[in-house]
Amino acid sequence: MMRRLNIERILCIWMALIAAIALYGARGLPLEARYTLGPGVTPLFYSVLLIVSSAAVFLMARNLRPVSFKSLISEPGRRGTMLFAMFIVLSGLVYVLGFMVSIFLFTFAGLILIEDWAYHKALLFSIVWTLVLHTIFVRFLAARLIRGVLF
Amino acid sequence: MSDTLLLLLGGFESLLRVEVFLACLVGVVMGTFIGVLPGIGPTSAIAILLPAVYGMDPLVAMVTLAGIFYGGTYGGTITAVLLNIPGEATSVATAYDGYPMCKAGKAGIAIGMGAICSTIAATIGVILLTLIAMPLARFGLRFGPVEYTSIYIFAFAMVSSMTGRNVFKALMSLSLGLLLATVGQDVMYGTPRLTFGQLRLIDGIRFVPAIVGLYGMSEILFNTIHRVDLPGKEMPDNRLDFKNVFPRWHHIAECKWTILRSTIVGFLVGVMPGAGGTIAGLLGYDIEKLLSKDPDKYGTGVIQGVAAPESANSASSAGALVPLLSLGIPGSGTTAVMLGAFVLLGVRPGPRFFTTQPELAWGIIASMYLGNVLLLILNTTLIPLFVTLLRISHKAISIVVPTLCFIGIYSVHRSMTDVWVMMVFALVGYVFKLRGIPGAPLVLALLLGGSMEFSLRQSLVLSAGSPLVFFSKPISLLFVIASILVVVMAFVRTLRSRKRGL
Repeated sequence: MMRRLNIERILCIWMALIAAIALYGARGLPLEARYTLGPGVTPLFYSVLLIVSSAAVFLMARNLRPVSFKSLISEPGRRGTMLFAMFIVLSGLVYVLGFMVSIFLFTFAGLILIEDWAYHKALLFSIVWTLVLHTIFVRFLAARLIRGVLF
Repeated sequence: MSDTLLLLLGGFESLLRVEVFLACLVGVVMGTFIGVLPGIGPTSAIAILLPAVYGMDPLVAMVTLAGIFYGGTYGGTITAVLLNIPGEATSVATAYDGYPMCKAGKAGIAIGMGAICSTIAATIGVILLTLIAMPLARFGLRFGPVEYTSIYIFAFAMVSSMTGRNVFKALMSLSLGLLLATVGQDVMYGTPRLTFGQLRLIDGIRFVPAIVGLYGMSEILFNTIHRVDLPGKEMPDNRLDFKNVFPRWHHIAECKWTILRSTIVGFLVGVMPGAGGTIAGLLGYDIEKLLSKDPDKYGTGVIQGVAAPESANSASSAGALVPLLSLGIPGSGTTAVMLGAFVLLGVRPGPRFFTTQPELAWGIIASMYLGNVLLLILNTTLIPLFVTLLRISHKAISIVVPTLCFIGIYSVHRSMTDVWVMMVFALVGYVFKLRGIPGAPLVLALLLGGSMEFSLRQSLVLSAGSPLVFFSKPISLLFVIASILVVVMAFVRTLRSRKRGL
């Protein structure tokens, strides 16, 4: 079974799951209202449409390469996985270090690990970029960002 | 007519404000630069910048975003000609003859011709937009919920059938968007739907993180994994100084009918929902090749092969704004994102837009006249600078853009949930892009799903529950029939290509 699962089919399964959850969530909603459709009709109709179209795409998605864990950790997928993983770390780090320090660290680490920049260039660019973002969002747009528990 | 001129003059007056003029300049510079960068198009750029324009003056914000939108088509020419890599999908056809011209040492003429054609075509396009937009908006004032429902259905049908080869994939994208648009309070009775008791879902799924994830972050993820390497020393040697980027008069004279025909084709394609700059460029090129006395020369470096796609894609940008500004209905992914920007700024384009917000409506249109002149200057004088910037930024963009999206999305509503929503949509967008599933139907459905449902249910109330109301009004009937035809044709096309094993 797993061998037949390519990325398109996995997506279709997820879509069907979302539709199934929506159908479950919409089960108590009225389908009729005075002279018009009730609030439950559109979620029901769209869920069925999503299931049908996902099933069609699922059946058509033959002869594609199956998904393997190896493709996520070897090139070229490794860079994407690393970028996404770093982004998740960044999302957690802002609570501790705040936005600006976390963004500086993300930029610095990303330029070295993903883009293979030299340390000194990456450091300089990260400082400049963090300052640019700080100027735009904090100074000009007056955005109130998380400062982090350490600051 | 004189009313239109007066209102347009009012629009030009607003350009005298320093911040609006600067917004126009910044927008077109960014647009050109984004167009130069392979992998990132105006749609992604506008999506990425959505959070940054939140809270700004609507005129300043929209002039900037519009500048990015039409400026992107200019920038794409530079890399299409010099590197045979269309920086923007709309310039695919430009590379067919632009790159052979570059190899023959005529890159300057090709880029200069592209810029001149784009300026002429875009200006004609904006003139047509000026003339059509207000009468169409006035006509739109006659539309009731019945007409609007059928127009929404037509827009969904067109976008689903024109984007991508497999209609089932487009349908999957559309139905996901429509389903997500139902989350939150019911549009008519306020009943909570699909919220599963979560208060944060009562306002529905916010479209800004969804759009930024789907178009901005997913593009970066895709480009990081499937990197387009720029040719280094392989770039043919060409002189790109000011003297060498201006075509001679005879070049322009040779292309005058090409420019005019492609402009009309491009504008009409732009107005039509679901098409867009890429189709306009390819269609403009194909038509000129068909009409040519010597079609075999196309692809070897003929100047008409650059003039046709560039004129068509530039005119399509102005055409795409017609339904958006006049009826409030975007016809493509980029204009859907622009509608998102309007909504984010608290403005709703549509039939009343020209009467309730004339300064904004005419300010945007006037800025396009100015922007196209600025683009001509930029694209003939600063080509070496854009190529240098491309080489520098190519290796930083995958880190710079995520940080911009991250801080931008958080700052709109001060919500980390929005950041997570963006990441989920980034993953969805990546798989969509990888497998050729169009994202435009999803975005369009997410933005307009609620409005369509409201119009549909209102129509049924007005007709005492009879669905026949959609067949009893001529405009509605026309759009319903057109929608059915479009969908049937898309299904037939998909099944035929399956049979052929495509």
